[in-house]
Amino acid sequence: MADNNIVIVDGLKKSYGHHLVLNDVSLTLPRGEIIGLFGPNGCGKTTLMKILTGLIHDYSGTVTINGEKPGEKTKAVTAYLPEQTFVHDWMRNIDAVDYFNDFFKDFDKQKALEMIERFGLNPKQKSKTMSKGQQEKLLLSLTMSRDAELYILDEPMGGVDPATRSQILDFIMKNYAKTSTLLISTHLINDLEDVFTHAVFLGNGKILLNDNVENILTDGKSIEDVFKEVFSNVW
Amino acid sequence: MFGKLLKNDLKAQWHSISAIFLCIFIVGGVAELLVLFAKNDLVVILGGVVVCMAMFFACMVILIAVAMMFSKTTFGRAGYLTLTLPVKTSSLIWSKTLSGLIWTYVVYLLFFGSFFLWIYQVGNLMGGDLKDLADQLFILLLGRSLQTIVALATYYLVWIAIAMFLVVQCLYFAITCSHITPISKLGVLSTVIIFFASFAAIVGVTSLVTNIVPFGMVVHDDVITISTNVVKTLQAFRMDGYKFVFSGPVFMLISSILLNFPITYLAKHKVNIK
Repeated sequence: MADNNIVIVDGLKKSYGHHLVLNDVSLTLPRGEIIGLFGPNGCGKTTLMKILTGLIHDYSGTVTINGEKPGEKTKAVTAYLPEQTFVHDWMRNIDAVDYFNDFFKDFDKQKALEMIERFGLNPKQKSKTMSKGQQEKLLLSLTMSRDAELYILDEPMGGVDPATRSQILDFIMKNYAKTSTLLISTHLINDLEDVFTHAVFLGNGKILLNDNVENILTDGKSIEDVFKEVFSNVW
Repeated sequence: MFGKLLKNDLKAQWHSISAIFLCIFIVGGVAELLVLFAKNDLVVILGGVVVCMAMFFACMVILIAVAMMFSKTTFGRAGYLTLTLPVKTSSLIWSKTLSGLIWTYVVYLLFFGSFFLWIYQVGNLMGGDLKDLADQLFILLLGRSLQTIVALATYYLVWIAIAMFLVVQCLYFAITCSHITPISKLGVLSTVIIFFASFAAIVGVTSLVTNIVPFGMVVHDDVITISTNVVKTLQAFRMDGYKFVFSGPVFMLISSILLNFPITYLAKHKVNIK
């Protein structure tokens, strides 16, 4: 059922030296869902995201997005927000917007400029002179101004204060294309609990749980409760 | 899309090398003032030497700056953006090669330009015009006319341009290799070793090709003769003249172009962005 799943991963293995980070991972990510990717530090969440975005190549197994291996075609439909800033030091916010506008056909420049303004960022300010929170807001403005089929957000609220967190979350929810799939990795399960429709738990290099949130949350449990339950048995 | 890549790479590199150009213009400006207002010839000559030294320094620094920019924008944190663009990896690499070359050539042109400007000014100060002075200088140095010297200078300029292309490509190749596990564990050392090894290998083979296929031109009595065997042609002129082999530069040019394939392959399939 390739049509229902935007991402199909089969038998994925990736190691760093002798350390096996992803061990025979197989999973499918359904379209139109907001998927939480959970797991302890070093469990391979970022590695999996980098493989999906075509930044890591030396893995075994198959990975497809829309039936294509990560490459030129999948990059055109995938919006990626990495943990760290990727904007060139010399760029002002407006330069970053122009850069995205140059390369991504699904990028809405006007929307990006409005978002930057709403976040209180100066379009002429240089990226390197901004705080971590401001940079995070810029990257989100750029990423969420794309009308992508798949959004991959790696710790989108890491390192920002709680007030900004709720602002960012609200921002993501208002701005993503509703037919798209959102894959969000986060440790801040409580803050995002309500928005997820699907959850993937990754631990010990394997998928420990991959299901609809409705099926996971039984007996009044929260995702965080399930997380603790799953990972107390693993670590 | 390639045009957009090139535009953005030129912009990015300009921001990292603009300081070099600023230094060139400051040093060049000061030396120029010395030449214009100097009371004695020694200061004029010193001014010229300063300009040439500054330009030589700039020629070295520009290569380092271009290499660092390639590393930073492709495999550094900016690589998260660069390598997730919906463009072919080969286009990305070619764009960075071309932009790096453009800036390198600009600096080299400034170097040669400032050198000839200095000769011109010295010529003016001495009361002669540039052509007379250059003619006298070249005849004195090589016993050849200006026309011949221009042909030879063109040959060497093209040679230098191709050699610069090879240097940039070897730098990019070395940087790309040094981002592959486990080579990356050696750090900058791996870049230096791979750069010199690849550069020396291509120069060595170029030298062999030059000997095996001696196609080129021979300059004898201000007449240029194209020959498939410049050695024999020169012997026919009783070794009175200069031989310039084309096969070497052509081989070097092809090697430089072909180096893009392994760079693209490695960047696309072997390098992981950390």
